Amino acid sequence: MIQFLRRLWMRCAPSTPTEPEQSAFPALPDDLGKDEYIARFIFDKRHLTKGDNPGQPRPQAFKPEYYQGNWELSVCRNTGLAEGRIWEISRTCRPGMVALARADVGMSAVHETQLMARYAEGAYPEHAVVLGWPVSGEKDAQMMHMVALASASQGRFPPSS
Amino acid sequence: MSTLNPTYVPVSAGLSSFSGGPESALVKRMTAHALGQLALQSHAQAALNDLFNLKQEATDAGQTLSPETVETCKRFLLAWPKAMPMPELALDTDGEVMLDWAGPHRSLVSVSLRHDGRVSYAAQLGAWRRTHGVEAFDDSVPAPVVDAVRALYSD
Repeated sequence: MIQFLRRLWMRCAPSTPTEPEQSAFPALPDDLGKDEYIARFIFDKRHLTKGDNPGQPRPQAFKPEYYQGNWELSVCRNTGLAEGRIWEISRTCRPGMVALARADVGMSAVHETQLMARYAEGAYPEHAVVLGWPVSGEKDAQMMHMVALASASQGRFPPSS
Repeated sequence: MSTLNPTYVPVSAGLSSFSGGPESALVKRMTAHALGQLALQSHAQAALNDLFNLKQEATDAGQTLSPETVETCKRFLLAWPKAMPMPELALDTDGEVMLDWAGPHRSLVSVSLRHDGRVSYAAQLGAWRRTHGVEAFDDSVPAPVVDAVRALYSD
């Protein structure tokens, strides 16, 4: 297990900041623990299912972005956050856009798919990134992580919708 | 000016009747099966309409969805086994079309289709049952993709 975590850390290391930064949760470690939750905001209606079980996040909602030589998925750290604060972030994190929904995922599921999440500087203090995506960019391997996260996620909608 | 024939009888009328010999029953069953497949074409039509909606949405949003990718996806949808559920579509940031099937118990199959027929797929078929890979679409849907979607609905 320790060996696996060390390998995972080595894969993620290039995208991690070299200087220590101030987290929004000083009482919590920068690396998100297995009991925490993250939220991925959804801005595209096609990233939610329409069929028999409508409103569930689709794999495409978890598509990581290539940033400084690494794949990263931008998320909000939910731990201890009030619902109102989460939806406030969803309205302000992307200028000019309001999230249609959010996908909540437990960190245990993130770890299960051999990914990890850590605090990252961003548009809001609760920002974090999911790391450990296949560096080679093999699409099917990346999709497997996206499918696993979508499968483990729970879609939630703003109070007004 | 043409008018509707008041004595119109559907072509499938009487196919459920089993009068006549065994050969007659066999012919009737085969005809009903063939007509049933034709009826299911409307199922593909809904997905094709969705593809053209996706193309329009991509244009409106300033995203890239090439005519070659649209054509490949259209052929994929037409080649998809008609007795199986059609996927939901989305556009990937790299210009590929994503096709998803959601089954019971949070099982999922996701396919990404490139303009040249490269098919990348990933499936979560159970808590510990996962598979992914790359195949080629050459006017027949790769068997691993069909098998994954079939497994989605058979458990």
